[in-house]
Amino acid sequence: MSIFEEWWLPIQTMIDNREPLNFFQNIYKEIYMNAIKDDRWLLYLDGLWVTLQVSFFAILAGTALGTILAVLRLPEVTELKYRGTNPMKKIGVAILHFLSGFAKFYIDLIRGTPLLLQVLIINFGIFGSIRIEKAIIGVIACGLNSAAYVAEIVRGGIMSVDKGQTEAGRSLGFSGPSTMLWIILPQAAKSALPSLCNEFIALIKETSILSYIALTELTKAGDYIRSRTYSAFTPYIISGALYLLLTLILTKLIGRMERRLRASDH
Amino acid sequence: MKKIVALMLALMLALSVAMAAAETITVAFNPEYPPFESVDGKEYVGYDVDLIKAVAEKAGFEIEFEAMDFDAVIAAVQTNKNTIGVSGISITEERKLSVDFSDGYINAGLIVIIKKDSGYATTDDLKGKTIGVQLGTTSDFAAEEITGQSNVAQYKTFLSAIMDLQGDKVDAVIVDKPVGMAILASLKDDSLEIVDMGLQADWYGIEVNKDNPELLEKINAALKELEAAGFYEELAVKYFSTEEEAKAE
Repeated sequence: MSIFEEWWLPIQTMIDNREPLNFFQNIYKEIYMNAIKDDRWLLYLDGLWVTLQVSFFAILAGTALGTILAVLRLPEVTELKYRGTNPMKKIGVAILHFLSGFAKFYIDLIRGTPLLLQVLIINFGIFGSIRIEKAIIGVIACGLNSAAYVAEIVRGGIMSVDKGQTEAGRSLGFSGPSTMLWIILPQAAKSALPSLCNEFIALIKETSILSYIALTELTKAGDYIRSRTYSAFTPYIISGALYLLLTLILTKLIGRMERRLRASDH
Repeated sequence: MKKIVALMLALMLALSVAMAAAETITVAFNPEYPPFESVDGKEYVGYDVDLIKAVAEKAGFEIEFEAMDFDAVIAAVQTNKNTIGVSGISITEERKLSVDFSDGYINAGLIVIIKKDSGYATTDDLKGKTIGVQLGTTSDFAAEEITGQSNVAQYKTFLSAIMDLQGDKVDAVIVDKPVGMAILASLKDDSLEIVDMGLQADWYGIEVNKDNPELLEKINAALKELEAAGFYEELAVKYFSTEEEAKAE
């Protein structure tokens, strides 16, 4: 018998005899029921692991897709004009304009509707009759959602880079796209980083919505334990503390990255 | 301007006095569980809704309904003395540790909904399969015993589980018998079928806060009267397609 159970037994006896518990006994009862009994703490860790995985891949997908959307929305693309006669180039410009319009539509659509509805539509609608891991649906839904926000953050970052940088790149012989990739985007990333950190934190917390499609992530782990112990809120406090831990670690990592990037400021 | 403010204040005062006058009991429930409770237009309807209205009339208290997720109902009852839970809630020993229960008013029974072509017939067939349920219900506990905790997909609403069964994301759904019957009758989806695997079910009861034994007594007395007057059979005829399904006796 573990020490926790030894502490528990007298309290159990008191509950059976309907004796009132004091403040500390009540707290221990909550902790024992919601974390220790039946090794329930493992369920929180399982949930944390799922949340971590889904968030990580959703952030990767969202950042990649968001950056593409951001570039498509730049004035260099939306105001691109071609007055020559090469039909291939004409078609190319038309396609770019179409993609740019789609990017704007996509961002408006995703930002303008709740994530919960997007998750439900993706699960029950788009993947309605396809057997697919719930975690993958979660990554897709959260990634697609995050991309819209990341796009605007990255666009802001790119716009904040001085125009002279582009001109410098072009005059050094870089093509338009490689100026963007090697000169503008790295500098944009630096100024966008604090806002991106914000978005990543929001994304981690928003994965809690995935409990609606029966993915056992961190919030759901708390929900599950609550449905077994009938504690009003203790499991939520434990889940909440783990979310906080996760976001604090992320904040720390990004803070460190920001300092590294600042080292190049002279 | 001053007059309007004065008027508002007077109105608020009058309202608060009126509210304090009648004893109002909040009914916490999850109206996504036909035929026991659901929303029809703007009205709450169903077996439980009719029952608690009749109980309130007999016992002499006012009720107001408050819709929430099923797993939130018990916490609402626990934390508020004047809240009762009427939501197709089975009486279980674990729940009795947190709340008091009225006498049972119906034993609905559990059934399993599967895809016809899967051909599952017994609980052994479901071992290791993914079973969809509504979180915190007796179906949830039954599913956990059959297939193990990690294979149970727990949804906020029972309907989501059915939709994932249709979409092949779960292999079976466990639910209370009348609810399963009702949903299949309205879905008209021939690929689904109901199998009775002899799962043990519990009686439904009304959840009452542990600090309100007077209310519990009133409710039990009202239930007894209603049962004697044949109200349970009336409800069974109204809400279940055949009387046999209800097994009210």
